[in-house]
Amino acid sequence: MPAFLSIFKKKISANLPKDPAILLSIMVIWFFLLLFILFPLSKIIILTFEKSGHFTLSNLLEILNKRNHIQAFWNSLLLAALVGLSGTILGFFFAFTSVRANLSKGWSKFLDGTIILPLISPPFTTAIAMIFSFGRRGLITYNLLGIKTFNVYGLHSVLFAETITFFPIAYLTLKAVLSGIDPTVEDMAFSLGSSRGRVFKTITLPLAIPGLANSFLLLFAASLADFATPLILAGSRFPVLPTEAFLQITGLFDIRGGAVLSFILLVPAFSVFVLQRYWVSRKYYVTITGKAGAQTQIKSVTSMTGKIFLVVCILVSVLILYFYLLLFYASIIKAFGANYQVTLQHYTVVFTEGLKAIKDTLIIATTGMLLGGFYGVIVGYLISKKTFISRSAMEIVSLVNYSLPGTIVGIAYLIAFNNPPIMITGTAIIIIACYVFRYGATGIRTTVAILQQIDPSIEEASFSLGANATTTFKRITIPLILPGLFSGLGIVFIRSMTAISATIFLISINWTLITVRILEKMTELELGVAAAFSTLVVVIVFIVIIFINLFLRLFRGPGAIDMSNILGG
Amino acid sequence: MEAIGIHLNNIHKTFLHRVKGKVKAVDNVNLDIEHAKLVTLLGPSGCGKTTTLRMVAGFEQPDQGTIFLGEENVTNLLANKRNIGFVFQNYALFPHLSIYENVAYGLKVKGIPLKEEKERVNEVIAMVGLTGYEAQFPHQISGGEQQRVALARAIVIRPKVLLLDEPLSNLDAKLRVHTRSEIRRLQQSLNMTSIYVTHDQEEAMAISDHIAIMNKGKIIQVGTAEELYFQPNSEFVAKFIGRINSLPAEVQEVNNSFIIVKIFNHTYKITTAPDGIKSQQKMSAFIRPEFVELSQKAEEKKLKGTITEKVFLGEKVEFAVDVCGCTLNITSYNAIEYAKYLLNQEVGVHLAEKELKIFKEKGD
Repeated sequence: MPAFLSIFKKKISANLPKDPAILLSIMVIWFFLLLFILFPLSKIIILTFEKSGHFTLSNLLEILNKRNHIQAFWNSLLLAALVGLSGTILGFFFAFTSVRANLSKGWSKFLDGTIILPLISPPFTTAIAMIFSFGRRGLITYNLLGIKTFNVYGLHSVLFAETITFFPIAYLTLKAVLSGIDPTVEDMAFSLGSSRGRVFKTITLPLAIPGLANSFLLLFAASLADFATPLILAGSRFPVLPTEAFLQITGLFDIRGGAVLSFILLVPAFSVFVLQRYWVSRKYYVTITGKAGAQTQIKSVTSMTGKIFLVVCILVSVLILYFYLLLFYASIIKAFGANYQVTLQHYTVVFTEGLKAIKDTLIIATTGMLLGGFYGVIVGYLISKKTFISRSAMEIVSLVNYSLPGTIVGIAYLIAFNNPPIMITGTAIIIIACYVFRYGATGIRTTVAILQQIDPSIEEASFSLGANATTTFKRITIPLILPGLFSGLGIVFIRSMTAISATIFLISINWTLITVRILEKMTELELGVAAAFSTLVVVIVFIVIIFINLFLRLFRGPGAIDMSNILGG
Repeated sequence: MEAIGIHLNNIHKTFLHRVKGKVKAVDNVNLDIEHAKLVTLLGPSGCGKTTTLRMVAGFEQPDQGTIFLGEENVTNLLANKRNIGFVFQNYALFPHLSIYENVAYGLKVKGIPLKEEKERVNEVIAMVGLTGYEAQFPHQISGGEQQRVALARAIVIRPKVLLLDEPLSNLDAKLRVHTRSEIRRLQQSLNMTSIYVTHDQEEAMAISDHIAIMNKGKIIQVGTAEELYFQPNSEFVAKFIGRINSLPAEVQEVNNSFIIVKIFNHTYKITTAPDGIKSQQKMSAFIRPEFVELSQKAEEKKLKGTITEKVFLGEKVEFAVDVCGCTLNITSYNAIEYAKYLLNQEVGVHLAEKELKIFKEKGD
């Protein structure tokens, strides 16, 4: 054999894992990633740029020529930017109050508890509550203020609803950043003669800037992807891309048009993904999160300012709670705005006619959770513990479906799996696959986060004692990541219960979902039933969260991390 | 189990460093360790000692070269097939397993029957003095106890060789001294061929049969503590093991069996000089602080100096003496006599001719 060949062979074999089990897992994972992430996505791109076998821009131009679509593109960007801004400001205000205003434990818990609500709710919750409050017969606009002409549909409502829905993401992100700033750094600035305002302006805020940028991008992406809120609240005067793409497909049966629109949505979504991953995430001031400094009395705000901040936060929290109570109230009265007689009739509908949707949702969410968790652990383990060719490619590809708006993923699946060789439209498999490869990413992130805390020498110790990779994984790695894994599973379940943007394209007569039923009831103006369905989802999700917390309390291992860290971003 | 030797032949290992690019972590290392001996790899951080150890363990693959455990070429064998005991710097105890389960892990993996497992685990737990701790978890015991669990876990599988990677660096000074003699005792009573990695020369000298001094990926010298101290082969070894003075010297005469050098206008005969030294060559001569003596009166025939520093340490006295602008460190164990010397005093300085050394190689 020529020398260069043997060198080449050596290079390859040095980069290939020696353990056959690892090699096999890598190949299997890549097969699924290609099939369920890259293949569908390529279909969107092909459909956008292909006409009768040739490359063309005419599809794109045709769609872009319609004023409505251009408008939708700019509307989406405008809305996303505004939500990013307002959500980050509100989130920062909450985070700052929580970390730097010497809150008592009780208030701290109250704020954390209510803020989490929008994160775990079905997508229409805020939107429905907005209609109940500010609609034509709204509790606040009509009953309380007597305004008869207020228009709830439009940019202002979507912006408000999305800010309330997504600011918790900003809160969780920024809280982590702010608590990472050692208060002794601020003490130092005080000791050098700075006033409180100056310390905030010159120390706290600059240190938080990478976090703020990150939070802005997260909210930007969330709003860009949001399908449910604009569908209910935007109205015809404020079209956005996800709803346009949806209408193109379900209203006009124009799959190619839907694909092109989602490709247009792909461009800003992907830019945000890249920006967040390669720019913002590297700007964190890691050094300040190192060793905890000495305990110090936090003196960022006077106790008066602290109290004022707290009151503002409480008011916002009360608004959120009010939305949820309103939802529940609407589900137990005959007809909101007309007949306030208490009744269980909506729940009767939910548990008779809606029973199939509940059953289907639970089956799909449970299966998705188990498979997604399994997938998440394997991929998370491979990309954080093993070195192999294509490792970083695997990491990026596995996060793609999670990072892209659900509308794109849904349309991509619809196109890709509607024809042979793989025809799974109309089955539960397509919905489950969608969940696994979309929300399984949270499992990957959880696993990676936990594994980063586990020293590599622990696994080496196992190898040195004679265990192979499989045994080590089973007896050392899995038990260590189990608590975190469990909360990761919970997240996959919750997301599967509350998702709609992708799966709305994938449901069928055979398999349907609660969230889709909520949407249908909204459009059929059976708001009471929609409210009852929403309440049910919130209750189920709450039960799951209580279970997760109980479990974490029982098995709080060294690898366990806070669930809030996973929900955030 | 019969103890076996360890043989490293022409081992090379290159890493890709993010800033420095390709770094030769281990550069043509050859090392033969006899059975039942403990050899220490000693060197400054980044010298390649840990990488070498990890290659013996199978955690890293050498780019070139072969590793033999006894007669068996293990170069391409996975770590879990080599039957080695490894003690990590941070112990790497399994945090979710009790002390008993930690120690028993390797036996369970091998499928040892439960009865034998219990006997062997209890035996080594007793050996390291942790009987009664079986049900505790790693985070419930002290650092020293964790260290002993790590040791017990490594030896219970009766490994062919024992590898220890700076096992004492997380312990306080007193515990370090105690534990190192425990490790040595265990190693000798179990007859285990061992490699021990440390950057602490005192630890190395206390625990080893032989020490291999490493620098920049290469082994500079292998020998017993005495050999390295009294017969270093390079400036690096001389400076790394103990302290040594460096003096400017000029070669006057080169003979078959000795050379003559001139240091501050005085000539000295050196019999241990390496080959290849040329006449008129300017170089450094070295001498350890305890081989320099002082005399009260500065005589014509001797070097003259002024005491610039004096530290009385009880069993010994240390001086810094300025000789023609060059500072010499001097240690005397004759504390009673040497306590009489005073700061700023003019003294005679006598270099023990036999102990003067010159090196061809710097070693770094």
